[in-house]
This record gives sequence, C-alpha cells and structure tokens, in this order.
Amino acid sequence: MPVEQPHRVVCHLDDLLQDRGMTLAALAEAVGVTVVNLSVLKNNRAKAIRFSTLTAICEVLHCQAGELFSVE
Amino acid sequence: MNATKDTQNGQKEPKDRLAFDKTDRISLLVLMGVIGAIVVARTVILPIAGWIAGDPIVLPFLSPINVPQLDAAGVDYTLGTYGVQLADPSTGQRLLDLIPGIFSAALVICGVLVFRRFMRDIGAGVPFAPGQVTRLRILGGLLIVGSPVAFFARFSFDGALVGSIDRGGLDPVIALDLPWTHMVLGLVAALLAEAFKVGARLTEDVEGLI
Repeated sequence: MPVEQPHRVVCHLDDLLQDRGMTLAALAEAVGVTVVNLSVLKNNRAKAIRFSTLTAICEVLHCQAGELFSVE
Repeated sequence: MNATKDTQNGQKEPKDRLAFDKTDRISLLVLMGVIGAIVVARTVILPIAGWIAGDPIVLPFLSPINVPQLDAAGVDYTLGTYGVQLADPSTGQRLLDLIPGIFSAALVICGVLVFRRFMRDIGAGVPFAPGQVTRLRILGGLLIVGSPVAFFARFSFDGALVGSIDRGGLDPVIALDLPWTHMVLGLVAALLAEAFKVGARLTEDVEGLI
C-alpha cells in the first residue's frame, strides 16, 4: 500500500490528560518536552513522534500507544 | 567579537571560530559584487568607452615565432601572443567585439544575483529552504555551460575580426584553452545541489517531529 499523504493519525492526548486530571504543562515537565511541542502533538499538527518521547508520555500517563493514537 | 557565547544555563561555551558568520557572508557578497563590477567594466564599459573615444579594437592573436635556427642550444621557439589593433572599425565590427562581453557580463550578473539569494537563505538559518537546490543547479549550469559558450563566442567573434585584418604574413594558430576551472566549479555546484536536495528532504522529515 502506498504511503498516504496526509496521514489519518489522531492523537487523544487531550482526553487522556482530562481523564488523569493533568495539565499539558505538568506533562511537559514530567516528560521533558516543551509545552509547544506537546501542544503540536495534542492538536494533531505533529508529523512524527520519537519512540523515546512516546515511551515517556505513556509512562507518565500510564497508558499504551494505542490509547494515545488511533488511525481514522 | 566575543570568543564565547551564552548557553541556556548561563555558562559560556567556546565559539566556533571557523563558523561561516555574518561577517564572512557580507565579505563574500562584497567580493562577488566587486568581481561583477570588474567584469562589467572590463567587458562592456571599457569597449563602449573605446567606441566613443574612437580607439582601435585590440584583439589577441597567436602566431608561431619564426627565427633562424641559431644553434642547438635548446632554444624553444613557441607561440607568440600579439595584440592586433583593428583601426577605425565599423559599427558592425564594434558590435561584434561587444557581444561576447555583454554575454559574459550577463552570465556573471546572473550568477552573482543567484548566489546572493542562495546566501540570503543560509544567513537566515534556513540553508535547505525551497529553491536552494534550483539556485545551485542554476549556478552549476552557468559555470558548466555558460563559461564555455562565452569562451567560444569570444573566440569565434575575435577570430572573425582578426580575419578581416592584414596580419602582415603571420599565420594564425588556434589554441583552444577552455575555462576548465569554471567547468569544474560548476560540477562541484551541481554535486552540492544533490547534497542540498537530500538535506531539504531530511529537514522536511524532521519538521513536526516531537
């Protein structure tokens, strides 16, 4: 299957943060990524994510990658 | 100029003295501008000034040196370079002398302008901006194709003018001395364009990476 442009990956960071009662700034602090970058991720403007960032986010939010992203 | 620069935590780290900074960029652009001005002055303005003043056209002319064989001491008789004067040239001959110069000047001006745009994006911190690859390819094309064309234009037009002069029995010699340095530099620019193409693709991949 050819690579599709643009992608259809949706990030559910906003929902996960709401469920955990956590702010974006607190997550940024815990993960070690800037708020700006997390905001890009949250608003589905990111094109890619490092495995290390994904691991850190999942660790802090106690979730799996599949809960953070879905393909629609 | 400071030898150190501040980091985020306030510490000083040594500055890269070999970095291509603003001073280098400005100096390079000034140098390119001076080269462009010299080429325009030499190939266009001076011939026009000579035309206005009614000066003869001086043309390069190569001919073998014929001297009696003096001894077998290893004397090397090579080609002589003459400056042949075309006195009282017609308007057509003046234009024939001017056309290769105008072509060379146009090539140099075009090259300087493209190079200026190329350096502007580098100075702005976006070396792999869209258009950089095209600019490098234009520079490469100007050097690889433009230089030999300018050389052949000058060579053939000068030859046509020399052919109309009484050379006093001197036999002309054709010496094709192609602008190899320019052509090699053009190849380097074309290779750099390929590197910038890959760099632009990598930059595009990294954009939006969290």
